[in-house]
Amino acid sequence: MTGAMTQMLRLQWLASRWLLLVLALICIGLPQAVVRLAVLGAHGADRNLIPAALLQSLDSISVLFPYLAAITGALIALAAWNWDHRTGHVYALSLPISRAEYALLKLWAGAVALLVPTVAIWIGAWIATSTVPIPDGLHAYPFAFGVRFLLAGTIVYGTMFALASGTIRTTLIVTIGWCALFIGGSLLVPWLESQYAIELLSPTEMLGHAFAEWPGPFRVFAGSWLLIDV
Amino acid sequence: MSEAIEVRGLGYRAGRSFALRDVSLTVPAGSIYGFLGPNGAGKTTTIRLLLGMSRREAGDVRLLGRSIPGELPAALSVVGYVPERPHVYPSLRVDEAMRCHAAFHRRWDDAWATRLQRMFELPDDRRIGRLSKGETGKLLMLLALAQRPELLILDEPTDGLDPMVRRDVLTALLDYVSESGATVFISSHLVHELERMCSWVGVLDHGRMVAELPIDVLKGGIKRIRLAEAPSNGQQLPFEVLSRAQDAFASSETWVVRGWSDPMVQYFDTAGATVREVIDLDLEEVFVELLRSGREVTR
Amino acid sequence: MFEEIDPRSPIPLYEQIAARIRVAVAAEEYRAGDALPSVRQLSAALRVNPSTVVQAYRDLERDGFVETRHGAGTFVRALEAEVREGERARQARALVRTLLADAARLGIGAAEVARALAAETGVPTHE
Repeated sequence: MTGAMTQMLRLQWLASRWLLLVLALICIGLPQAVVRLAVLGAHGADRNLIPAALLQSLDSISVLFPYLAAITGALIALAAWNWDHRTGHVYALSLPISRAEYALLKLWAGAVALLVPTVAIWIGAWIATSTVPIPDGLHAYPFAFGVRFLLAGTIVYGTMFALASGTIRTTLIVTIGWCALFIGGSLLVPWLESQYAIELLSPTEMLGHAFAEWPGPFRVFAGSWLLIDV
Repeated sequence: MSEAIEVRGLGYRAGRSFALRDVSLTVPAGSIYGFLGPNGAGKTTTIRLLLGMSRREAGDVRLLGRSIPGELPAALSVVGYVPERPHVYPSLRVDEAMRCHAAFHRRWDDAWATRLQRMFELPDDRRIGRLSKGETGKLLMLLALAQRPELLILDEPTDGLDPMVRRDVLTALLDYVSESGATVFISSHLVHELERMCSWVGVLDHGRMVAELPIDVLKGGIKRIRLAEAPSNGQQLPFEVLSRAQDAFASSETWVVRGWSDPMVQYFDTAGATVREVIDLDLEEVFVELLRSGREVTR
Repeated sequence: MFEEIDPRSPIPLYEQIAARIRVAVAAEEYRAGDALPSVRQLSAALRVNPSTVVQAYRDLERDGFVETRHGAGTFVRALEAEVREGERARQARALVRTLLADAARLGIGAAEVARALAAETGVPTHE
């Protein structure tokens, strides 16, 4: 590992250590809360755990996890660029490396930082599923859960990283541009369809297909976030 | 390569009123080049364009023979930069900032950095955001020097610093220059300070280069002439008149001329005037006269 | 020792530095064999361009006041008494020239200056 890579890691650490601490605590804690809440709502008349009920209550509460993954990825990306934004990027521009190389180094450092909440959620998931009685026929999947979390977090991290790498002005332009395209398309498509009697995919559907269906990158968010499953 | 910095026809515009027009300058290798100009002239913008931090609209820029922005990383590896406002991350400690800078600059001299740190009395564990203005100025110079550059580009490095700190900073700079032969491009509006050190002077006003000369030639060629029975205008002049004014307490006029050499007294003799005095100007007075006459011309 | 170095003076800095050292040698402030400050030390101390110091030392060497020993530094040479006296005389006259020029600017003639000099020093001048 080169000196620059190490240094970038150190910078990332210094810029986001409190954030990582807070995220780690949440990642360890949330699985405990979710699993215990789910178990609480799944007792039958005879104080036994009903598997179907457990799955149902778990499913509804587990919606928190993809949000946590997304927020984790986004915040780490923002933390990566925070200091540069505050100082107007001057220091980075004065360094003897190309802007692309600088961005790559930062991307690497942030990705490593992402491992902290990932490991935390693994630990959290493992503790949660091993301290709670799991009824027959169901299994715990802490490992798969952790992998899903890492994947989802990384995707949001990458997207947010790219957005945050520009100036605030470019970020705003890109965001507004996308929204305009989206809204414009949403208005245009029905009109075109009615005019020419054709069937088009609305932008929402297009987006949905592109991102949420396999092999779209955001598919991971739509999948199962169940810690305990059949 | 004999030029440390070569700029030809630099052009840049920002907003409606600010523009750099056809700015050309040449900084000979090994020289100390003072980049003078009033506030708002465009000095900082020029420096940012030199370093490829902003995109220029016209012209060529070469640093140490390398084209900007084509060979920017290679150029920046041997250029030390002190910006007008601190650019290092305020949340870093002094020692962390030094370690960071060292990691990115191959020629970093750790032993010397430590000596400078001790000389500048910069504590390891203080956060940069909590340093005083003087300490920040010293740290920025330390970072630029300890990377052992071939060219130093300094944007008002002593602005707002008290005399003691200014002395420390400039002493360290000159110590490095005499040992390494590095070139220095230093912008300032503290003309007196530059007067001691600079071998070349470039003057920028309202986005245009007004003069670029070796310092002795610049100072030597501009004089104040006190004249009795001064001739009226309309004659063939061997020198350029920057300004002329009636003296308040004497029956004479004072002319400020450019391109003067002593034999030119002859001109006044033949015109029937008497030269009472030929007064040398220091760099600050030269600077003021150049700017004043330049602005009158454009008005 | 170099406090009077004035960047605003029309005399180039290297000349001022060289002149100061010449006086010091003539007045035996610097004795034969003494080392002059290194270029690095002096340029940093005076906050002048190192090339200025280099030029001053070069002029001094050309005039026979110092010699540069490669790697060791610049050292004062022994001067014969008459050279030393000649230098002091030259310095004195340069001072007088400046005095007369200043006086002339105020409209005071050379004769008046000579009288003032006699009065101040008690050394009579020829009129």
